[in-house]
Amino acid sequence: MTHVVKTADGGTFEPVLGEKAKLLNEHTRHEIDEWIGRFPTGRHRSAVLSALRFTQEQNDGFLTPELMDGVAEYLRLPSIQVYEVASFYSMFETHPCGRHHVSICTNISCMLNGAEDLVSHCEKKLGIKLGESTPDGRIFLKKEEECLAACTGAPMMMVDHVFHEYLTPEKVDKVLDELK
Amino acid sequence: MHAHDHHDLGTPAVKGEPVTLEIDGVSITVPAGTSVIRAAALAHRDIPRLCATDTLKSFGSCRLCLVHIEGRKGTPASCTTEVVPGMKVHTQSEQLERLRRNVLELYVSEHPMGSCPASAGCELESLAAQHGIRESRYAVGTTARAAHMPAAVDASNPYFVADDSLCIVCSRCVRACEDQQGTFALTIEGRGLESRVAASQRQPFFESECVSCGACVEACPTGALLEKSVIAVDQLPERSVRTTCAYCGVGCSLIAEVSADAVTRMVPDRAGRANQGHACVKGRFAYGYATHGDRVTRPLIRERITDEWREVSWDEAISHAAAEFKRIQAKYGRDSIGGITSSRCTNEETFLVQKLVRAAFGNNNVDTCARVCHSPTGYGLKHTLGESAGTQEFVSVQQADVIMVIGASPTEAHPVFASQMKRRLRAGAKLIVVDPRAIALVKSPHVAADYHLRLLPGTNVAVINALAHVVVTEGLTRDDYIADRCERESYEKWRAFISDPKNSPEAVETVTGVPAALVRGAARLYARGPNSAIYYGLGVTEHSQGTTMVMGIANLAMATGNLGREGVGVSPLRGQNNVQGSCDMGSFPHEFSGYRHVSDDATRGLFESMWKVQLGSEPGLRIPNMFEAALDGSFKGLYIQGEDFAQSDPNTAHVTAALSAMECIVIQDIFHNETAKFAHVFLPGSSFLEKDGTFTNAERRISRVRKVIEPLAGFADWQVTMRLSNALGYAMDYSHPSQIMDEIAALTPTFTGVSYEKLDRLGSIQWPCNDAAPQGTPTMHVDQFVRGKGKFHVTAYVPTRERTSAKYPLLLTTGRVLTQYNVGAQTRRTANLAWHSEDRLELHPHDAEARGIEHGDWVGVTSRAGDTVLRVEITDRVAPGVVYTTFHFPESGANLITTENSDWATNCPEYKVTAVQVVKVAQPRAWQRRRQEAAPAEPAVSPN
Repeated sequence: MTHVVKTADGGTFEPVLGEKAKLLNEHTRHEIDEWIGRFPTGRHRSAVLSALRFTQEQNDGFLTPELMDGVAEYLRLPSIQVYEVASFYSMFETHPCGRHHVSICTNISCMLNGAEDLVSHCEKKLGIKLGESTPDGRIFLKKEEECLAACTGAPMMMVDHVFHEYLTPEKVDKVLDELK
Repeated sequence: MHAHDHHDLGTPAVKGEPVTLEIDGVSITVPAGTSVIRAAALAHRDIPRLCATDTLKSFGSCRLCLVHIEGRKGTPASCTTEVVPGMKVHTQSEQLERLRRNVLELYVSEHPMGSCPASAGCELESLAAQHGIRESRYAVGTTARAAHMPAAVDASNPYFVADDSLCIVCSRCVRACEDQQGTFALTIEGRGLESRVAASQRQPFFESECVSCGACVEACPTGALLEKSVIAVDQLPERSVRTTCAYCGVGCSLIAEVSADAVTRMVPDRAGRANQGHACVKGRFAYGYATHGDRVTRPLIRERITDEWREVSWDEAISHAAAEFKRIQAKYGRDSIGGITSSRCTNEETFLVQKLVRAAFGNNNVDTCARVCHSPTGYGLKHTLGESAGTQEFVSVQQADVIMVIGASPTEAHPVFASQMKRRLRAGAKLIVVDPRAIALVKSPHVAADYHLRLLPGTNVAVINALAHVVVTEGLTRDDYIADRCERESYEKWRAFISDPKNSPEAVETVTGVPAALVRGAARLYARGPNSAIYYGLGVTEHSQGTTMVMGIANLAMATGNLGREGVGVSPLRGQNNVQGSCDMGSFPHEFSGYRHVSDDATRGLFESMWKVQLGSEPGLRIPNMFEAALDGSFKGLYIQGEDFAQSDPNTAHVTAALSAMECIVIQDIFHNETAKFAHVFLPGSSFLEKDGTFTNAERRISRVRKVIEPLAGFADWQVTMRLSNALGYAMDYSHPSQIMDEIAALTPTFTGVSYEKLDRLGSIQWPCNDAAPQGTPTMHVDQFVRGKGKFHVTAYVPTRERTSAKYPLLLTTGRVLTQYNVGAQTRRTANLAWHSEDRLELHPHDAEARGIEHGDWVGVTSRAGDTVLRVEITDRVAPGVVYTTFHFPESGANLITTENSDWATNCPEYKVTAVQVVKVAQPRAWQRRRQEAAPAEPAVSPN
């Protein structure tokens, strides 16, 4: 069962929808097709990054070997070429974790503005250490986040894909409490 | 780690115009496109490097091979910098030394000195030592990485260990897996200090997609990937011997490293023309059978096959065998005995066996196991093109634009050539697969078939005719080529035949099961090439129309002008190491060496004068005729070198009845086998490691086999045949196989230029090698066909008698798997068992559902000839209506069900088509259970 996607230079790409790729839901596959279309013919490997983003979203925040195999099959790539991307970029998780990813920047500007206290505050509030997830699967406190290029708003954190700046313990509580 | 005696040049050879440059004041000329590091190595100014090796494209990550280039700023990496005319390079300076020392210290901070086993020959540690580094300023006591992640040692692969703590993340293994092997099983996962080599998704190697070719292990510059056999000896090898692999017809050149008279490692020879420095899980790792405890090392005799074997001296065994053969000939006549040559033995040994039969037995009753595999290739190509062999050398595939693979599974059966083919396909060549099964090439990383013609087993000829029909009727023939090089009359006759609408893709669609549109598309692709090459295997030959199909392939290649240059051709993928050679050496009952008929007076006269004996002018018996004559009571004695009829030939019941009817069977083999159960004399054989000689691979390439260890039983096979001949009263006197080759050269026009001296000098030679081609012949039929004009043959499709019916509704076909080899005599005695420990029956999900069969069930497989029981694997690799099995284990009994049908011209058995029924059963047959319980102590099978 195949369909054809138009590529950026007017060519085509035929994703493979085999047993493995069927783990990707229709929305994810649609988004991946969209991204394949942004690259020239034969450069579908470039769509891996976006494909993984939607796949992780579909699975509530982390990737499984089966899902990565599914992406590989869909994009006609060796599975290692998906896995190496997933394991390289810090925004992908390859082990089960909470569905909301909370990344508190601890790089120089944020550190000078009290980031370490915010980390302790969160750890205490949530009862977990950096790199762990809450037992209810709601929040994943990412291990350590390098500079997110928002030093003017330090201290800051990223929750899922949204930046929160000029943080205080109260502001952090509000953001965390609103996560479902 | 590359072979210890290899001088690594850093990057691969390239072709280009000569460029002259200066390195440390030394002038050197190299082809344009060469890297500075390679040019320097060629000028004997080796530059330190860790991420570069001459089998892989440069990568530029280790930052050790820095140099100064006059007129350029900084210190460029010499592996990624190409030479330029007049360039002046300096490889040594105080600044470079300081840079290299610092880089090495950083590496040593993650891989402390002395952490590799001494035997690893660690490139990092020896480079560091050369630069006077004993420890790193950056890490004392522990490594930063050890603090970041736990060291993981993966010993899951039977042959090598992966140890993260020794890895310097140079990516050589990853690149070897991609470029050389083409499997894409390895990557660097993670980032920064947590980067490490991962197989598939950080699985143990054994469970990953890794096919254990070992290229990564050889590429590793440290002990991070290391052979278990090397770790066990923990010392550098005492000596190295260049020899040739004894598994498949690729014929890889290998270097055996030896310590204390035992092989510690096999490394592919980077100068090997056939394998280009690559090897597979069999050749590189599975050599342990040679010293397996099951080896028979003492001669055995017995009066009756129901008696126990008795160990005797060589003298007694030889004189007993000779006396028995003489007695039988006196009683039943000169033609009552015969001999069988082996495609596993050397050319010299094969030549001696047929000489023994023709000169000492005094008849032409000699045949070979090639009868059951590629005899149709010999016959078909001889009658169309004029020579019984493939037309190309393997590297020719790098010039092909379209590759057609018919009835072969190169990734399983010819893995090293498959890697070369995959490299060409990744570079853009188109692929047509003609096979009932979705072989791995149909879809693998970065390779996919443009057309997969999934035909029903037994309909090859209908498909090849339909392809040719499209070429002819759509005006895609190369008329100038045909007019120039082919027999006009035969072409016109064939053209009229093939144009008939009954050969059109539409007309045969219902017979072949291949949609006509696919056949048309494939035919156009092949015809337009411009360089189209056909590679085929036993799926072509092992049919009742095997010879017809070979001729059909030759017709198609001639009609499209795809013969006589690089990048095209008709290439049989030969199954056994020396099946080409055994055929060349005169193993068939009707031919002397070089494919000359025994009835030809001039040829026979030549042999008679050299051998000083009168020779028969009538062809002798073929293997199937021998069996029939044995059942008639007129054929009573047989000398069998390295062949196991009772397992490898079709219709086992018929074969065993014939063997039981003989009075003296002499077996020469390295292991007990099924046929030995019917033997009266057992002469211990010698493995390829134990003798000198030559093998000839599928490219007609003659390569030296060199003695690595002494024969376990005291004699090499050629010496035993010689002794038997002398005992029979026909004198043979050779002190070295080179003398036998000299005799072959003197008697065989295609071999006149071959000698051991020349083989040592050139590395290998492709025959014909004679005055017209003193360096050998890589590509055949260059200016004209060997037979003069190419001859088209009319190839009418005649369905096999083996058809499906209500009782036998499925078609069984057979094949091989990567890790096992033929009847498994060798590979079952190695750790390769870990991958494939039983044969399974592949069944399509629809056929399984209709029969209530589930994955892993035992199923009874019944044909008109017999029945057996196999475990089932449900998969859509096979089409509905088709089932498939491998035949590596005697307890599978695959040949209990294959029939007596055979090729019309050569009697090659029709292994590839058997109508069967498959039903669910509770357990294997009683004989199979006894067999499984007895394994592995029970002696099993021969190396053929």
